[in-house]
Amino acid sequence: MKQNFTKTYYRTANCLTSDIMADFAPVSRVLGVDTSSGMGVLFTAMGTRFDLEYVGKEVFMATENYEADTRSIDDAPVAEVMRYVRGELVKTDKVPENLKPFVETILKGESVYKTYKEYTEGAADADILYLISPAADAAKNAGLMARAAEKLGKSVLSTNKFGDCGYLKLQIAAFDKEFEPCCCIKEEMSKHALVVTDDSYVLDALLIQYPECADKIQFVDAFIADNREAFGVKPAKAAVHESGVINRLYPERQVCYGSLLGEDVRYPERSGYDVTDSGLCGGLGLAYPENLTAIAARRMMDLNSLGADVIITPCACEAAGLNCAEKGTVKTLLEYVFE
Amino acid sequence: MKNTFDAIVIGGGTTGTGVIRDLALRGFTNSLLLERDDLGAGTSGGCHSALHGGSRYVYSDIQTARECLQENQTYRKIVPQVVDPTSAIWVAKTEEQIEFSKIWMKRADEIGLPYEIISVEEARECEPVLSEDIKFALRTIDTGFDPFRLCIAQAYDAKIHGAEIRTHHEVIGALMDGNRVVGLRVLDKEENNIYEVYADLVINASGPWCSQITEMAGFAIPMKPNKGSTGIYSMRPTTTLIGILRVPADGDGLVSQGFQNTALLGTSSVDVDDPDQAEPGMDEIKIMEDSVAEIIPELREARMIRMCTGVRPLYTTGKETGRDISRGMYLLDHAEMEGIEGIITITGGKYATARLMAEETVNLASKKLCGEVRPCTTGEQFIYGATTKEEAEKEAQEIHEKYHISRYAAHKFTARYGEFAKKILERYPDEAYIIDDAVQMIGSEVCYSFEEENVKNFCDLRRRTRIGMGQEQGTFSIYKAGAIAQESLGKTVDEAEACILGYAKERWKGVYFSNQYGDQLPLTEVMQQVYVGLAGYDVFAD
Amino acid sequence: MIENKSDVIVIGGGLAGCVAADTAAKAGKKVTMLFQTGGSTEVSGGALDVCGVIPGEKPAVVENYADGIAELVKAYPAHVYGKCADAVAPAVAAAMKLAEDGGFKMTAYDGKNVWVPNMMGTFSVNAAVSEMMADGAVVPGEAEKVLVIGIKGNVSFNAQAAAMSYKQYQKKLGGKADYYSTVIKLNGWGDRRKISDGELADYLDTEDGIRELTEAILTFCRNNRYNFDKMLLPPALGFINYSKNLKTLKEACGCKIAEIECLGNAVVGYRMTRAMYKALRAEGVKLIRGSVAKALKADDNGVSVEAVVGLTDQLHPGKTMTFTADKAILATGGFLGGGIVARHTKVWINLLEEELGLVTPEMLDRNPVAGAGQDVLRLGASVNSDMTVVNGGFAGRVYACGELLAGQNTASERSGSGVAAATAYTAAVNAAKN
Repeated sequence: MKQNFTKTYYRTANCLTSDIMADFAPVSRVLGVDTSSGMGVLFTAMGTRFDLEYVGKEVFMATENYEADTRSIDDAPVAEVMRYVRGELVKTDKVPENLKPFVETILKGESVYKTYKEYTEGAADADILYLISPAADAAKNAGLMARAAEKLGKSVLSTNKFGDCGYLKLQIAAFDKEFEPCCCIKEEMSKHALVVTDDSYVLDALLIQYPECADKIQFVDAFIADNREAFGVKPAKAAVHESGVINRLYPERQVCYGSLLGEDVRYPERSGYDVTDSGLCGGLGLAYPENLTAIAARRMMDLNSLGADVIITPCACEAAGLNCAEKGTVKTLLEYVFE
Repeated sequence: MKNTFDAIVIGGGTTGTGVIRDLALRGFTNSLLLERDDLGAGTSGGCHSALHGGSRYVYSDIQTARECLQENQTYRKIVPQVVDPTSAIWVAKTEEQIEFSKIWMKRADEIGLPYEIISVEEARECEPVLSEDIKFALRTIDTGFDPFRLCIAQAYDAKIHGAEIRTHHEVIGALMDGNRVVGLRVLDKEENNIYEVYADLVINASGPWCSQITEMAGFAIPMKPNKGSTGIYSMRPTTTLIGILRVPADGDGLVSQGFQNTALLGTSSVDVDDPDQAEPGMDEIKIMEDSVAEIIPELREARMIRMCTGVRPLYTTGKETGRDISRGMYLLDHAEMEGIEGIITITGGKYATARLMAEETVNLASKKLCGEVRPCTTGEQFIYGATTKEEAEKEAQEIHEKYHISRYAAHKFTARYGEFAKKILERYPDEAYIIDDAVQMIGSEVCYSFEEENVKNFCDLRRRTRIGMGQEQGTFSIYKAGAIAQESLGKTVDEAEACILGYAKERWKGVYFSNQYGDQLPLTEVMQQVYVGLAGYDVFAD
Repeated sequence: MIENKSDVIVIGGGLAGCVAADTAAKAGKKVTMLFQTGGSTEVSGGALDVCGVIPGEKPAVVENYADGIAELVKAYPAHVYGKCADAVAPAVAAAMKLAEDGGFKMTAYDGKNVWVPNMMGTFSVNAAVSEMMADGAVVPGEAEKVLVIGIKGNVSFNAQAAAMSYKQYQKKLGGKADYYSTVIKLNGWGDRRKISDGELADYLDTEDGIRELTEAILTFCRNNRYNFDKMLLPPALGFINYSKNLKTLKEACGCKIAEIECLGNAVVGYRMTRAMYKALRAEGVKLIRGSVAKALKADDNGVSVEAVVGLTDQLHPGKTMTFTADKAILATGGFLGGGIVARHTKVWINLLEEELGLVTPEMLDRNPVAGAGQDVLRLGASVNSDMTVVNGGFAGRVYACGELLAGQNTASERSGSGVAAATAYTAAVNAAKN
């Protein structure tokens, strides 16, 4: 797996109006430094390719629509350009000094999450493989999933031992390096009838690397929606923070929360395709923790204003990100249904 | 206004500005440069933005190649921050080209041009856009630079040493005393005032227009003005200059411009009658694109943001045309040739060899002015504002921190202004923000260039600052410069409008041709919606 | 799960696409909308221009757009308005209603054009404007005192230069206002020097943000002996809470308040497109955002569209799905929107497999602001009077509308929204007939 620069270049060359990076996000406002506009970053990245280190800061910055090229009306693949630049910076050892430890951690295959502890529970030949978000409290989530499996009369193997399944490596375009743990992922998946994850970024990493397994991989909300009667999901006056990864990249996997949680479900104005992310962005947000807190706080402001009893997100990584802001508590869908 | 000088230089391109700098540094400070438009507005500004390291001429013109190689090293020394030492990758695909590469390498060895043969894999690793079926590649030196900034730097270097620079002053007649040119009649185009200036020696460095000057003194120079059309691509598909190893023909290369976030396809070679009427030809562009597409197959997918043409001042003695004529330099002593005293002409040559041309010219001028050849120091001294790369980087970092300007913009800014960079922001702190995201140009530059660098309009401003030379061709930036001119420079609404529309018209020239190619129609739609649909200049402008 | 069968498929998410979907849905059809983004409407000024100027050597300003349309069709017989002049009024009304249903209120002026101040320091002509701009319209002969307010750091709008320019350019429109300017400093972003419209709008969407702005304006007014009749602000009063913010400011200041018109900022087009999407969703239209139609086929049995769903890049190939319907309406935009493609001297329309020939020098004027405009913008798809595409390979089931069409130069004529709405409306009315 490798990004083809030629394709990136020719697609980006038509960029006229791509202004997502700094424009739609509170990121630079918080940093207290003028970053370039989205157009500026793209032009620098693809235009003066000697000078990639000059956008080193910007390309490691997770914005509030991180995976989205949504503000680009000219089909410029913003996320792809950012991946390309990160990759080049890593390859040529021009990663900004303050981000070197972060990148090192990813390259070594370690987790960027400080709270991460490897955890595995369940039978090796279980029906369901549950890949726990590396950002989540693994033991607790494994317990919740065990309840879910029990209601279905199935067995489950819960683990976070594959970390983010290579998501961040993909983000720094370290495609050539072997994904040590990931080599085993496919083998592990082949032992189970169903694979469920509660981390939308893990889902993305799996679908990118193993498209042939797409049919047996489910995001947690689809898993719960499919079995809503068995699980006895209660209606809720809930504010829902959706997953940007699902809405923008895998819209065919969208779940209707109205039929899952009842008519009283509400969304912030920016939802669906325009959903704003938590700022954690599968771990990339930890490169600039102050941004993460700011973006999460901004999103929490919108979620809190909906007057709901509970704020729910399907993605454990998004929940971890939003909870960084300490502006209220976000529950994962799994927690809401099984706690 | 002073009207008597030791020497007057005609032409504000790299040759003219190089000559006036050399004159000033040799102590002929009572010198004047006259330019009918703006510094770098003619042939120099229409160049490749590459100070060729010689590899292009190894086969066709070994003398030029040798000079390019030598001068390339000199420029890296005297204006390090304006120069981007890119390299060049030359590739061969056919048997014929591989054969040619052997001759090329032999010649390169002769003049000491450094190169290394690299594997095809390595070439494609460096430049992923290269075709898979290339057979051979070598890497050699080359240099990107900002052609406008170098002209400007040379001119202002002369200025701080005491010489005078007058732009938008056009020479319209020669003052003769028998067989001697004693002065010039000049039109000040801003005031429409015609005045006379006198000098011991007139140095004609007006490039393809040089015969028009000498005709005022009663004789013509056998020039073959020759246009080179180029296409400019948005962003850079390659990091280096790319060329095909073969006998030089029209459109043999793709130049990734070291100092810009664009790449340039060039250059054709077509004779023209009037250098003022030269326009890029669609067929020339297509031939070049098809030619380079042999080694960069998807090039036709890239977006050509503009097309332009520059006119080479080729000097001829016989009937040869185009590429056959030497691109070498010619220093013409008209006292010896036509018996007309008081005027010499320097023509031909390359941008890369301009300093050397100036040196030769001033050697002769010096002999004529004071009877001896004073030593030349232009190759040793830093040019106006030049700092070392390290120094420029350090300042860029400070600017980034103090003014919150992005690192890239600060880097480009210090490269443009060298040691003046910080002072510009200190002087105009209220405008210290980026107004053009595509080229990352800073608002303070508008104020500085109008007040300190002889800028009269936004076309001049572009040559100082690169405003609007990026992907959006000024659509979203030029009105911001107009607002700064109104707010900080006291320009009236009419003056600002003239600046904005003058710029739009000039930019449109290049976009006009790209439109015929198709590539710029999306931008044209935006531009029309902004300048006509929204701003209504069709209705409001006088 | 994404449903892939409907009565009408609309391709394109700008103004034309939205009006087409709305009209077809109101006619009782099941509508699916496939679109990547809001196209050029996404970066538009949030106003509706119908016919403002008749291009020509001396461009003529139009007072009443219905008269203008008649003139336009006379001057350009191939103009698409010639096929749908009667639909303009209901179509513009439908577009306004649709935006309003989604929370984006608009004001029209009985068929008269108005001129509103813009980011360039001049005025732009429109038939209807959003409530955010309505107060800014030039009132000929009125000696108003207008305060132009800039926000420090928001560099895409320079208040002082704009006020100077408005004062001069209004004369051509009979304006007699006095323009003053000031720059207000907000502290919401620390000591940064530059803030984009998007960032500013995001800040003003928060309670802190709008409070700080209101207080800053009030403080300015308290210390000022002048009373202003009108205040103009940059187009950044929020992505979401703009209407509420406008009301807050009007109440606090007790005078007219308006944003200036702009193009290319991230805020205004967002408001307008998202409002229309919201209203369409409420009408039951299926919106498939982030999808790109790759191929279009039609025969006597119906149409089928192959589309890639989901944002794509090299790691995300997207999911290819086939959508079927009775009819399809193309609203894929012009050169900017991507409906018309031009490369290597060729111009063509992707989905229709229609070649438009070469761009010749006669289609281009050497003056970028020529009164007659750039005729190259009149290139596009040819349609019959019911808006079905002339190209015979589509069994009369495929319609086209908006900027994609041949005949109009929406920049010089200031006719973009009118053409989009009227052609979309006509196309959808006809597509909805059985």
